[in-house]
Amino acid sequence: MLEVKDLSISFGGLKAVDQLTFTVTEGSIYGLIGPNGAGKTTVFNMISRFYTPDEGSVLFIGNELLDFKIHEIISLGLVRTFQNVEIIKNMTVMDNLLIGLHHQMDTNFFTEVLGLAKKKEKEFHKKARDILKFLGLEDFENEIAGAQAYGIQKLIELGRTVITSPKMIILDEPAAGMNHSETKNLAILIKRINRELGITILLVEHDMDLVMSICNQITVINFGKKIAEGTPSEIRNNIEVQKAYLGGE
Amino acid sequence: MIKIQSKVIKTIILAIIVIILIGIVPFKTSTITLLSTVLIYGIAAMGYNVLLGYAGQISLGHAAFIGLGAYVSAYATGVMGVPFLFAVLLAGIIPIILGLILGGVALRLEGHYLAIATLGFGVTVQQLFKVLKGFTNGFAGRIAPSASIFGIKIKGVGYLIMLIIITTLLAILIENILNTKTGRALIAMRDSEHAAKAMGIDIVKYKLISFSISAFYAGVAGSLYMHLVKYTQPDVWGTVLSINILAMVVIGGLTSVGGSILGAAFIVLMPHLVSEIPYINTIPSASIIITGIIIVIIIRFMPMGLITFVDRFKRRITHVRS
Amino acid sequence: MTIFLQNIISGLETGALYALAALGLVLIFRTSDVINFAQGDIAMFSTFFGYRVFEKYMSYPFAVILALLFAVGLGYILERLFLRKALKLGIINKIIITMGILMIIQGFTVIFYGTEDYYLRKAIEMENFNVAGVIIQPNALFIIFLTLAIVIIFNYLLKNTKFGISIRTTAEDEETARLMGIPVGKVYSRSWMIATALGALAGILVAPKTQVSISMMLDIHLKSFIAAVVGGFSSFFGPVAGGFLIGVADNLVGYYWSLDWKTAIVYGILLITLIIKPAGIFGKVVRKKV
Repeated sequence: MLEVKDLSISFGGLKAVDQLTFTVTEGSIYGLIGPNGAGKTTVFNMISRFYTPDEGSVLFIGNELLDFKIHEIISLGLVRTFQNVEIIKNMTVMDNLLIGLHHQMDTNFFTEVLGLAKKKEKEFHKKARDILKFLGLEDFENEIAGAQAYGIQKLIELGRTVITSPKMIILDEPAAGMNHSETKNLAILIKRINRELGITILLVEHDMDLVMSICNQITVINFGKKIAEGTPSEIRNNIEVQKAYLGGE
Repeated sequence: MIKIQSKVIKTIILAIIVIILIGIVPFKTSTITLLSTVLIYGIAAMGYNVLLGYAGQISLGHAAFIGLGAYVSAYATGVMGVPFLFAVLLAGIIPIILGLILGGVALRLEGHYLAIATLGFGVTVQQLFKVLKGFTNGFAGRIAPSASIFGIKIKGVGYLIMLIIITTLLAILIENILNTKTGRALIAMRDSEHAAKAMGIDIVKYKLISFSISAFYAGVAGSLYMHLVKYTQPDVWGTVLSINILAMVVIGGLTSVGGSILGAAFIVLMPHLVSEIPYINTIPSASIIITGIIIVIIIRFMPMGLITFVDRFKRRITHVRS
Repeated sequence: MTIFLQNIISGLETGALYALAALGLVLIFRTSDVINFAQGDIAMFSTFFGYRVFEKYMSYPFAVILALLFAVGLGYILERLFLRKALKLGIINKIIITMGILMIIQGFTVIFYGTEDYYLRKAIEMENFNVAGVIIQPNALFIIFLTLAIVIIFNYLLKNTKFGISIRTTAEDEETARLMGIPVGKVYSRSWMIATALGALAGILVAPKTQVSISMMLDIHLKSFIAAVVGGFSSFFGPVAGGFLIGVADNLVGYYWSLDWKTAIVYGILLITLIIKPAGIFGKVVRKKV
């Protein structure tokens, strides 16, 4: 589904990512891990088009992502989350989810102005409620998103990605700031999204436990280069990976 | 959904009540003019609210758009003989072009940079008003004929009632926009541009939309001003007016359409109210000092605007009932 | 050629005043995050004060010093009273507070000094002299060199004193400054005090041309904003350079092109700068991290 080939980028003479290549197969949960500073977020930002690589290509279902702008990616079926949970703090939880539906809303400006879009709005609200139920957030519908606990905010952001009916979600360090039991719940949720909703997941993370427990396939990078690729058990026994993490952490 | 429905009806009922009041109570002419001015600024403020409150674009040159609307309307009705209502529409549409230009500049700037850039823009346009004498008549000033619909002259109380109708209509239109996809997109863009982009919101498109809407409302306001006062010259359309519009929206309450009208009422009426106070009105320029002090107090203690005051009051009433 | 040089000198003279005002503007701007719209009127009020002192004691240097002290005191009071408690309010609210300050200052100016205009003498009242056909006004030279001296001294202070470093750090990243133990509050008040003093100086120096009047600072005030944008305010010296540039451009355009259109053209330069290099000629734009 997602083919990353020879992806490279330098910042001011320093090569942050070097010839990275990996493939995510449809329906899987794929992990991209590495110690701090390994370049994971940079890779992430390149795939989601916030950065433009110096070399390489990113093919998503046959589309060359590098030909698209940031806001065009979502219509291809690829959606992302943010490490610092970029929900819209001053809107309700419901409105935050409705943002996710933005690119699917075909109401145009003039129908809105004249108040003719109300029926469509009702449909959107219903779809948002379904997603809230899936996440267990039904009671939070009219609460202000920014006032909620961190864990809830993460769920809201996740809901926003799921509502777009994506083919693939890329998660940016979803376990950041979570404790052990929260991470366990997150793992269960990600698996549910993958299996029940049929969404492929690419997970960029440096929490080993989460990645090991849910990923089908993992690529490990360090200093911008791939140092290992394989199943969780293969990675666990890989000496290069152990060296990289012992050295880094 | 029921909420939205009744808001429109509530607004219309309010407007009808006000119109009946105006028709019955014999207000002084000066009061009628003052109230008309409040509504005109209110229209400009509503549009500006979309730009500042919803889209988060700090624009300090908004007077340029209002002025352009005024001159377009004066020129259209006075020189070209265009009928009044059509001229008002034209006065709203032409500034959109200017808005798109400024919007284009705004695409690459944020925060302070945007603020001062728009300030410079506003001043530049004001300069153009001074030198494009064929269009604006420069310092000599431009006059405009009275408003007339189907040959009937509209002024005084009639003009105020027309303004109430127009303001109500424009308020409903804006509420419609803001409660749907466009409104959410603007707020998302304002609060987290990255998230907005990732969710498929085309920032370029929405920044340009916000500048266009605010320019339209400003232009309409300018036109309505022009046919109330019937004379204008370039000094009016400067930084002072731009900052006043900013103050109206902030003091009234950002992201509140009703707040914009409230803010307009405050800025227009406060100096007059202050000068009515005995003893105070013997001191020259006391009203400007006191207005300044009150503005600072409101911003300090009610940074979310006067509308929060109104909301709290409303809530207290409903609590008493239950 | 001689006329050209005269225009340049004249342009540098007005440009120097724009530069002083722009420097003050940017100083407040980058340290306490406020666009101070009251800057021009504070300068005007101080100049009125200076005029009264001069009227009473007939000593120009004495009047100037007192006017500057007045401005410094005023700057301190305004910052402590109005802005210090409003720190967290965001740029828009702070702008409106300065608007309130502007109204209050204007009101008090009228109360204390009425609405009349007054004439204040030039700083240097000396005969013009002639260098190879170019007529040079000593006062103009004085203003230009004074401004350059101030800028050089300020640059030295910024780089070599504890105080200067605290300003630069606060301007760059306030969080870090606080964590490093820099007395950020003092940085705010001192920035205001310096800025208002610079404004007052500009007012006193421009007074011979505009008269001491309520609207005397209008041109300088507006142009200081333009100077800050054109020069770029990610540094303290972009606006200074911008000020001189605008002053010279204003004069040259006015003489060689059109007096009528000169202000519009200069503002047009601003717009073009914004389109080509939005951060200003000497500026850098800060990009947000993803």
